Amino acid sequence: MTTAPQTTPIATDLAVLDLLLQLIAGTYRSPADALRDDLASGALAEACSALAEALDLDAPGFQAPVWTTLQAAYVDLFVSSGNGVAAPPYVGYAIDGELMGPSAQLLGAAFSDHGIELQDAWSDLPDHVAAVAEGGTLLAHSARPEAAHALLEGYLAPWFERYATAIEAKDVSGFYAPMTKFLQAAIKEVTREARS
Amino acid sequence: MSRMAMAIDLAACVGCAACSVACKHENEVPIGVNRLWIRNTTIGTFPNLVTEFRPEQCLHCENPPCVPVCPTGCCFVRADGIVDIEPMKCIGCSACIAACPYDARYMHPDGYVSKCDYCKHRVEKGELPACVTTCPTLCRSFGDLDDPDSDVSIALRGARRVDLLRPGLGTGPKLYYLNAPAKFGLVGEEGQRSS
Amino acid sequence: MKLGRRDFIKLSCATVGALAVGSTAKAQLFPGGFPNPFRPPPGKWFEGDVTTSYSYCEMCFWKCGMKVSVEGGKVRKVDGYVENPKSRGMLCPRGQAAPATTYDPDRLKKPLIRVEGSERGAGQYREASWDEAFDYIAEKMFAIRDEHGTESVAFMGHGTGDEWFASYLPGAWGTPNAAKPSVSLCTAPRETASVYTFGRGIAGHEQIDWDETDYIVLIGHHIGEDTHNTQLQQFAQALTRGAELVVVDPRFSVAAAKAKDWLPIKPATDTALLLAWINVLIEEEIYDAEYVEKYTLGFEQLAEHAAQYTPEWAEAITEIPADTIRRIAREMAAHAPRAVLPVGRHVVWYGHDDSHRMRALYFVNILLGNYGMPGGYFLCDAPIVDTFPAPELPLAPAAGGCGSGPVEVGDSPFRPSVDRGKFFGTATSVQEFIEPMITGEPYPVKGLFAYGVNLFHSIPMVERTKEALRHLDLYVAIDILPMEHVMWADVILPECTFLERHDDLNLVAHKTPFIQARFPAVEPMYDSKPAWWIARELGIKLGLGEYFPWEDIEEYLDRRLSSIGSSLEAMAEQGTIVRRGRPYIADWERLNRNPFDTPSGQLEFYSERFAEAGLDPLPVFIDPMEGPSGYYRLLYGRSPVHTFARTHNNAVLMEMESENSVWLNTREAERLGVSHLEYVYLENQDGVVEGPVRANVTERIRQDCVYITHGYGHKAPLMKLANGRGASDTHLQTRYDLDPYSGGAGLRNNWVRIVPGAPDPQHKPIAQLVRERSQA
Ligand code: SF4
Ligand code: SF4
Ligand code: SF4
Repeated sequence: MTTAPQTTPIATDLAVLDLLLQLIAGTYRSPADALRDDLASGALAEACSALAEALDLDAPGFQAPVWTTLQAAYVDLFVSSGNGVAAPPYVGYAIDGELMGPSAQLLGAAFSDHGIELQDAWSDLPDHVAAVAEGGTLLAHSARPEAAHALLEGYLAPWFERYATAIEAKDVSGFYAPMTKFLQAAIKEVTREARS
Repeated sequence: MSRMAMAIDLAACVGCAACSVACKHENEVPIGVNRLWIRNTTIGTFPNLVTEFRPEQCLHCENPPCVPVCPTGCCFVRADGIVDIEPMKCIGCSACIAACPYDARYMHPDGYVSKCDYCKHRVEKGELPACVTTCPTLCRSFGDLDDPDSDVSIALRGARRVDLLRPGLGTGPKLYYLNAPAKFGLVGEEGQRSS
Repeated sequence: MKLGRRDFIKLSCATVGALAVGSTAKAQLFPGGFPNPFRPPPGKWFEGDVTTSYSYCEMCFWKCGMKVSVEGGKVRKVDGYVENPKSRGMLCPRGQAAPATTYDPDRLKKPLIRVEGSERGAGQYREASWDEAFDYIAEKMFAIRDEHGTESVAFMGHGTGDEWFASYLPGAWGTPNAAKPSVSLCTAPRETASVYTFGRGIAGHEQIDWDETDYIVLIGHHIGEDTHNTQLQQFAQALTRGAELVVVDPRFSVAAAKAKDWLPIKPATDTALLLAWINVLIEEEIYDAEYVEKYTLGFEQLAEHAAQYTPEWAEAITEIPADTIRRIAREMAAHAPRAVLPVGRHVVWYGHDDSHRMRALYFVNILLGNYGMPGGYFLCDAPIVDTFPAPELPLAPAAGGCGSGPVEVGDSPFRPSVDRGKFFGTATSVQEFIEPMITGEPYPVKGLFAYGVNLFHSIPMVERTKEALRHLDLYVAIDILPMEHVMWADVILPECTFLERHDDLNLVAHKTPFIQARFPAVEPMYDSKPAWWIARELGIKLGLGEYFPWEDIEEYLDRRLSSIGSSLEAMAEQGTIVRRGRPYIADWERLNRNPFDTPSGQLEFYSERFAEAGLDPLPVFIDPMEGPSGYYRLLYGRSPVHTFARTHNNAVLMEMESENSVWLNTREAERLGVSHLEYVYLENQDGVVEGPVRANVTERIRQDCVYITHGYGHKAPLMKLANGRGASDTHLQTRYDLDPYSGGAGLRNNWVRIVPGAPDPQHKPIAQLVRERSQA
């Protein structure tokens, strides 16, 4: 049943919202060279500090993780694990308890309404948390902060609510746990500010 | 007016649950509840044994005890005899669940009561219910009791014996069990220990 | 909130590549805002826009023709269709539950490579692209080839795609070490016995003329528990029609519950019963003399040989009264030729005895004059469809199917398979590939592909299998779910489920032979790929591209179909093409053809070829192995809602039956102080313990054996619904007996004792697990 009230457009700091969405996209995408570069160059840490400063939060304290450990942790947490995937990375699954369920369908339709389309090269489900966050940055860039915000609150926040604890408990990389904690706090902050 | 009914030939049923799984997908029945389940009972001592596989579901009674207890009127009997529920009107009070002597009703996680509706959406299109269609032993027949040429009427006429589930309750089920394997008819009631 | 001087930091990693701004024109029309997610009740799927496509089921390997309904981009329901001779409009519970496997969140999603330096079995993986995974595999395969030869890579496969992974690719690569568990761990004895008796294999889907028969004798054949759809339909229809049923089984099976006579035979003595029936049919001269005269060879030898096997002799062995044995034999004869003793599917029971039992079974049928006659065994061959034109493979595919023997290596440049010479038949034996991985004898096996084969829930001696995996240079698993053995592989390749893919044509030997096609109902989820694609891409990497001269499966299928005047487009509309068969001997005689491809052209009771090989030319009864005292013979079978060990993470099916139980006779339970549904452990003769598993205290089984359904007792925590539920028969099978004729592994030579007092594992209800899985 529809319970959450329709979000009313709010004046939000577009840059903050964009950065938060970028960080979500960057954190939960498959760990490849881009993430390795951002970790090595310090760009990711810098971005976290900027967001932390803007929201008056503590920046996540992660050390540069061993790269193969981080990769294995990603698979273990989000892809296939000997102990059960701690956090299926699909926002619709977190909401509906079902893959490709009604929320995922609604999300796909809404993106399409906004002129945002799935890329052929993308080989995971469209409601993967990294993909949804990327969609959010596109909304933010095309100056639709209220849509980006609704996306954050309606679709991304529930995923963090469901899985943040599990990720924090099971992460062995020293990266995903602090990032998840930080991003969840940031989402809370952004959505709280938006409501107030 | 018609009286839709079902008959299950217990001499053929093997308790495989294809019917139950078909129902699950057809009617999007959530995991944890079922419209249709199989009761499997054995009586006797080695090597003289009788095992009965008995699928159970809503019996679409002619005198359904569940209907009058409903405070909102969302439980009703359709013109074709199918006992039905209007989920949007249901307030989830569970009175009907308590009133059904056959445990056919369950609470849907979304807060309304549900149960077998003889796949009314299929019946309205002239199709058979999902459980009847898929049953690999062809032990289920369905149709209008008032039509002597319907599959169910033919099956009832051809049966060696016909049993009702707890006929003493006077509910008038429109689900018939044919050719029960035990000489005395249906084996016990629920809770009977299998041997 | 304000971003300071670091405004608009760009992270290189934030570009996911999933979504992009497309038609801005459309976007401009949209006023903004974003809908809230909602939960049902949305409309029912069947009220939406439903499209259907044809497929054939892969939930077990019966492969029933199926129609798939898709709504909103998602598979909602599957059904049989009446034009298909296998489903005939119906599906079994497993088939009906197919969508729940496709949408199982535990599915394998991406190619994975084991983290360098981590142990096999430790389950540490990183994601890889398909290209990288193929490069990795190719490099290791070339290294194995250079050091040990191509034969040192073994392939095992099960499922429709096994044509690619257990036949075609091994043939192209050049290894005879390719096998299917569906042979040596299932049907091998009946095939060898059939080829040497009838000159034909048993067609994959047993060729029993159920529709015409009046009298059925099932020997340990679990119809109703193994829900092979068509067979169950025809069996039930035969009973409804009034056919009489006799069931021989130590357990009051579902089929036994339908029988007029249940003969609770002492386990491992079935051959004695069959030999006694041969004896009675001959002694009382109630066999079909005309048939025997016309079509068989060696009756005199058989008659002489069978004289010793009197019903009284059999009574002492089988514990079935001699009178009953005689009575049933007479009833069979009275109904002949419309009386049949159907051959089962899984027949690797006692090893040394299995081919004898199968031959004795066939002999009773022949004496009833029913082979190739209405109401007995019909004759069938698969329809012929040309292969796609491609260069001849360097090595003829070796794995064999359910119904065929492999080609001899002969004087090819390749070494014979590692199991060659261990047994008489020509099948390849999965379980015989394991030892060479450890010992290097007769030559090393260093690489292994496992396509859809559950290595830890099919091959006996699981610890030996694990040990063997540790010795490999390369182990590749191609699968759908992260089964325990999959999480040991060096490279894991995710296959998409059958609802998401094309496959090769399925050519079915049937009373009406037919061809069926599989079309994808939806796009593959994740980065999963169909078997044909994986095999071809890997083949190209291995330099074997010439053997895969098609661009894609559509071209491949269309070309094949054109050879029979059809096309892919036509098949998409039709699903199945049905041919006329030649089910009875008379159909062959009209064409002046002989269906029996034996050296003599006759049905052979006495086998010269066995005699020449120093084997028994006629079936004999061999005393069964006995277990230690205080132990029960471990029997196993099937649940109607599960297939092998592969469906145990399917939420819908698991809800139907979430754990197995050990069937224990009431009196034995009393003696042991075990109560109904109490948890116990099973400990086998070698000290291997399984459980906790519930005791099913029942009258439905003899006192000298216990029974569990196969496929439970998963040990991979990733299989969230399956993990730790019930007991695994395979893990308790720490010994097997090799059938010297067929190479089958007799698995029922294991014994267990019941250890009461196991703790209640407090399994959560499946519904709760499903909830927790989605809502951590
Ligand atoms: S599908 Fe048919 S045989 Fe199977 S349990 Fe249901 S009614 Fe019985
Ligand atoms: S009639 Fe339909 S709703 Fe009722 S049990 Fe059968 S499949 Fe389910
Ligand atoms: S028997 Fe059942 S699982 Fe096997 S192919 Fe047929 S429908 Fe599918």
